[in-house]
Amino acid sequence: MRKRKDPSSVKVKPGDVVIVFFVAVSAVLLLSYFHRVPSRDTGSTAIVEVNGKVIHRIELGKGLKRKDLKVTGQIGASVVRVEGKKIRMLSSPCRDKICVGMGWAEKSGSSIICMPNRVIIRLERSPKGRRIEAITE
Amino acid sequence: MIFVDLGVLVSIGLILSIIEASFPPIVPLPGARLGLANIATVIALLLYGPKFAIEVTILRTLIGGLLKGSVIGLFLGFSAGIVSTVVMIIVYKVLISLISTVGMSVIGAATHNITQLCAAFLFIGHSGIFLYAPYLLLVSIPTGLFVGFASARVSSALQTYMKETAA
Repeated sequence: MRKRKDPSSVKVKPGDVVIVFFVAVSAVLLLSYFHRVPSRDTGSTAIVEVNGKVIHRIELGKGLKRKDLKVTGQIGASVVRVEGKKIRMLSSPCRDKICVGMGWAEKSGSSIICMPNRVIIRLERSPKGRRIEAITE
Repeated sequence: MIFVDLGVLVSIGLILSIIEASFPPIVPLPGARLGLANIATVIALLLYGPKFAIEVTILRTLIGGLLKGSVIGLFLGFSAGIVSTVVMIIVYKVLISLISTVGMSVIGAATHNITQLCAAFLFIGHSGIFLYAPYLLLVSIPTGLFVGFASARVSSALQTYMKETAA
C-alpha cells in the first residue's frame, strides 16, 4: 500500500491556537495603548489635511452650528461636516467610501482617513484655555 | 511541467484577486481584504516549495498591480506579498511540527496587513494610520484561517491528483 505523506493536512495543531491567541492579544494590547488617553469633555481640535498639508483647523465644541466644508483632494472633492463636537466625512469621491462609513468622530486621537483622495481628518486634544471656535484656513 | 504549473498558479492568484476586488468591503477598514490570492501562494509553498512560492508571489503581485493600473496598489501588494511569503516560509520551515498550514496562514495574513500598513504609511506620511493596526490584526485572524483551510484542502486534493497522474 502506498504510504501517503501529506504535508497539507488540515489537522489543527496546538501551535495554531497559540498563534491566533498571540495575534489577538497583540491587537488588544495595541488598542489599549492607543486609547489610553481619556478624552476630556471639552471638544477636540479637528485637523483636516490633504496630502499632509493642513487645510482646516477646527475647534470642535458643543454649540458649533452644522457646517459643511468642501475639501479638494487627489481625486476629487470630499465634504467634511462639522456639527457640535463631532466631525465626519460626509461624502468622498473614492470607490469604497470606507471613510464615509466610519461615521462621526469626536474623541481626540481618532481619525478618519480617505486614502484614495489623500484626505485625513484627525482629532487632537485642544490646548488648555482656548475657547475660540473659529475655522481658519 | 513546472513551468506550466507556475503559469497556472499565477493565473489562479490573479483571478482570485479580481474576484475578491468585486466584493464590497465587509468591514470599514482600508486594506482589510480576504487575501484570497494568497491561496495560490500557499498552495505553491505546500506543493512545490519555497522558491516556487516566492516566484508565484512576485508574478501575481506585479502582474496584478499592472492589471489594476494603480502604482500604489502595486507597491503595497508587492511589498506585503513578498514579506508575508518570506515570513510564511520561515514559519513553515521552523515550526512545521507545531503548526499546521492554518496557523502559518494566519501569520502570513497578519504580516501581510502590517506590511501593507507600513507601506501605506510611506505614502501618507501620517502616523495616525497606525491606529488601524489593531483592527487589521484582528481581521487577519479569520481571513488567515480561511485562506489556510482553503489552501490545505485544495492542495491535499491536488496532491492526490498529481500522484495519480504522475505515472
